[in-house]
Amino acid sequence: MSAVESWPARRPATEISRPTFASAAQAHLDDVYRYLLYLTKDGTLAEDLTADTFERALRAWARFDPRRGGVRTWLCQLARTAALDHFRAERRRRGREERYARDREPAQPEPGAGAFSPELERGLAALSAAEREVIALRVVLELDGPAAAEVLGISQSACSTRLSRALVHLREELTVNA
Amino acid sequence: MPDSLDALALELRATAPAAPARLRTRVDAIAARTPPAPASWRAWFQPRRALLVAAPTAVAAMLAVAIAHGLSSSPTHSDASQSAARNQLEVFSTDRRVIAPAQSGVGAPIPRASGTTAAKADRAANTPPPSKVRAQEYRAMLTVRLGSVDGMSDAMKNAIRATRAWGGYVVAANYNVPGANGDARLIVRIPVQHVQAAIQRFSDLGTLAAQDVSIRDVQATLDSYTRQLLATRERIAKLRVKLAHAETDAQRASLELQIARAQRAAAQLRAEQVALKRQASFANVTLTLTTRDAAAATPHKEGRIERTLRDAVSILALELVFALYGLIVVAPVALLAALAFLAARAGRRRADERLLGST
Repeated sequence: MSAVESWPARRPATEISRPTFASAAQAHLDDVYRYLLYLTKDGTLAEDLTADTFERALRAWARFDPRRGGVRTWLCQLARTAALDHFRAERRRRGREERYARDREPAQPEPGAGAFSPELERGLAALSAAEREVIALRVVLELDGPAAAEVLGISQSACSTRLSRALVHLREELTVNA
Repeated sequence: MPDSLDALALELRATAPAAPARLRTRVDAIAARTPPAPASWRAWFQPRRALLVAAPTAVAAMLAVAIAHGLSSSPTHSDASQSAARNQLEVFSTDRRVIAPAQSGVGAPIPRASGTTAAKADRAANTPPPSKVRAQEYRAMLTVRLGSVDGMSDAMKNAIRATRAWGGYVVAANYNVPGANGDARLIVRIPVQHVQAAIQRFSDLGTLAAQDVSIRDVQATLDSYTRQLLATRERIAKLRVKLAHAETDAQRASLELQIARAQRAAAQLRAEQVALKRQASFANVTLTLTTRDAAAATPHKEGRIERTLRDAVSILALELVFALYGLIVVAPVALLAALAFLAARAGRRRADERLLGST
């Protein structure tokens, strides 16, 4: 078993029963923010998407079934959906703008508060969003294999493979930048 | 620089930022709101629960319909007897069950022929005569047992000769004598005024084993054709009067068209009337000659419960056939819909992966 696979899964006991929305939001705000920060590389965007995620969660709270999965996994799924919606909207917007303003300087993403070290920042910047999000889910948030695969909508083996490649890629980038 | 993945993971976790204070304030404001209440039907409707309730309910409904139909469609013996006694119209019977009381003479059990003149006279008396004043469809089925196959050919020829002598004709003949035993079947049409004589004559060919006679009154139908014909001719006459007084070409054309249509309808009615009259003027007689011994089983009369169960089972079988038919029709459509849904979902996932890969 690889080092990646041996990382223990952490599943708080509170996820088995149905908590209140307020307690769930308080408990998992950091997790959702970190995940979105990894996914977007943009602190301001991550904040907006985090707020959007909890808006969606509030509207869908009645449909959440704790027997089917934990609150954190469910929130990460909503966050991923919110991020994908944003990326699609951005792609459409960029397409429109490219037709009218070809020399427009692209906006620089703002780093989040408490950002990473410069080396780690550069290393993460070289990864794709898909690689960053699997690192965020499995390493930073410590979701177990099934939960992470559920958020990503892929099989567990595909999730493990993606994680291994992402970490190897990150290490290579850190080695190059060192 | 971390030199192992574990160390890298530790660094990633250690440097993971917390949500800034302004974000926490925003989310606290969201969390302070009351989540909207679920739709009332969501509280009790769950797909699995619905399936657990719907499936046995559907089966129970099918059984209830089948049993109700069985109870409502199976009359008692007394009901059947009273109905037959009141009504001169009899239903067709192709089996050998008694369906009417003996006094009506229809379908009455025929005593085994003992060869005496008295027994033969009984048979003739029990055969109901055709009506002289009303048009009827008359059908008779006789089974006559012969001592050996040697006489079967002569018996067939005798029956055919007699049929032609009465002015009738043969519809079908079948002769099957593979060995020591054999059967022959003759279907003839005989002018209805000679049908009693025909039954008597055919019975005398051997030992009468079974007889089944049924009569259906068609006079009402003929009278209806007559009434319709009269009405149509009256209409044609009125149209001709109007045609004589028509003032414009358009009126004349319209009236001529109506007259033509009415004449065609009258011709059609006339043809159907003639065909029914001809049908009723001949009786259908089926004669079966056999050398085989009859089965010793006595006729089985079904009780009410048996009839109810029989009808209920037939309805249940029909319901299952319809359900299977519906499943066969719906299944390919459902399969295509499922495949389309899965394909669309896979397509969406690939698009999302491409989007994340390019971000």
